[in-house]
Amino acid sequence: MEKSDIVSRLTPIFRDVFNNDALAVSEGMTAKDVPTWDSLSNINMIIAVEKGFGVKFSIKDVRNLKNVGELIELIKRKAA
Amino acid sequence: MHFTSPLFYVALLPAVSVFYWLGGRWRAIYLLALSYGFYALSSRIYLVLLVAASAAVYALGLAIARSADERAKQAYMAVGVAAVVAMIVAFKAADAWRGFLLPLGVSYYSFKLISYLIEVYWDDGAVERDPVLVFLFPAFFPQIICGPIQRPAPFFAQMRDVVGRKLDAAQIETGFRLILGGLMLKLLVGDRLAAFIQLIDKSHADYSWSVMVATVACYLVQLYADFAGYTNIALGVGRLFGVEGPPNFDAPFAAVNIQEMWRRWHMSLTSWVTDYLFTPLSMSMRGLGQTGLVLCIMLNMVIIGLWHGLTANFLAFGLMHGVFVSVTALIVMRLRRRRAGAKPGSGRYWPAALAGMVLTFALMSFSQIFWHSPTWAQATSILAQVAGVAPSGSTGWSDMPLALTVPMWICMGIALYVGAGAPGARKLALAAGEFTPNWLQYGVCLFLLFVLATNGSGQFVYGQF
Repeated sequence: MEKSDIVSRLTPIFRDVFNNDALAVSEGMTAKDVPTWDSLSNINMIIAVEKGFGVKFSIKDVRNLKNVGELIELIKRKAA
Repeated sequence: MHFTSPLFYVALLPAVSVFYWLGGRWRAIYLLALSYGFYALSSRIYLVLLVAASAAVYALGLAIARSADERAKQAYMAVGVAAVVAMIVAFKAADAWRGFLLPLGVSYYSFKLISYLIEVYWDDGAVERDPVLVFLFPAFFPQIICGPIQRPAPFFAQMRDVVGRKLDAAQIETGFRLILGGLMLKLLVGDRLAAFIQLIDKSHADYSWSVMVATVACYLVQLYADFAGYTNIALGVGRLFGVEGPPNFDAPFAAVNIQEMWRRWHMSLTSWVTDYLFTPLSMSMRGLGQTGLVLCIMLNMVIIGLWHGLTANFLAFGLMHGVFVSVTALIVMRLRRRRAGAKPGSGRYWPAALAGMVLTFALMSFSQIFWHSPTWAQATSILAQVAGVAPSGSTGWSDMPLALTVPMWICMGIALYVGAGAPGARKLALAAGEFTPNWLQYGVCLFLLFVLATNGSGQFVYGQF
């Protein structure tokens, strides 16, 4: 799966979970850039990404993520 | 020795001077010796426990990082975490049920040790091979009495930095300013509120309903002044040795709901619990949907409650907040969904925000009845009185000396203002800075401390955990 494919599929998931219809997903994005991204919506996001891409993450996978770019890499690895 | 004792400051000046006089690695070794010396003043036997726990965690950290097998890594981590948890539970149980005195800072340093083990388990690169730094991390004396609970990575990085550079005058000044501000909040504001509370506590049933309601609000405000004041002193002392600790408070009284309050109150504990308990737990319970979420929140808040002590009162406090936070989380999620289409930056409607702040403050104060009361009987009796179920006494405001009530209201006002983020204070300080030099500002603060400090006990509420 290409990076751009992942971003275009990730965008509606992020917009839905973080309740922001104008959210533009970028690789450098972190939780600090999204006001509604807290510990609760973070879990909801993980669940939604797992469902959306048909992958399963471990706690270790998720804990080490520094930004959305790393999430995209993780999805790429898991979906391969 | 506490951070309000004059002797502490007499010793601090030469201690800091020697630190910067020494060079390189000796600084870390010296700071470790200093921290152990500080600990030994409280208890030599428990110092042995601290050293033994640090040694075990150091060895386990290396074992986790060295091991190639995922199962072995998990086993080392689990053994270490279980042992530290067993240690803290045993001491808390002995304290609650047998009146044992807790080892100094055990609640803080054990959480630091657990975070180190989990971080290394999550990422091999987090391992620290220098034993001096690993032993210093839990023992670091500015953070031993009441936290804040710092994370290993920033601590190691800052210690590495400070052993390789010269004294930083700006950092020393920030440290001094934090200590001064902390002492003022604790001694001038917190201790006055504590004196008022102590008087009411002696015979709360004698006081009128309105006095009791104000006293319950005072529990929360006094705790804030005491704990935030202490944290500032701890952060300031840490800065003198080149360590910038994490903040514990971020304008908690400006929180518009209880969920936000917990992101702004005792932050180093709540973020610890979020990272090492809530996130892993909610990941493993993610199949259960909203039921799983509520279960995780309940467990999270109960652990925060019981961290303070294994008593029915702290359990009640935790359960209460579990319910408050769960209900708030579900409401906030619904509201956000409804507002998803709204233009970004449409902002908060201020009357609603103000109502939210008042309600959050009321809920937090209400739960403080259980937090503050030493016994279940006292908590329920105050609760009955405030709820209007039990009769209140006849001693009203007019029966109390003005010398007691006026300072109480002034201190309540100051602590509420500071705890709401001191709106406008930065602007005022900038304006004042134009015609008053720094030395004069510090001089005025020192003068106020000298003249207005009460003959309090100098004890910190959070020093008992």
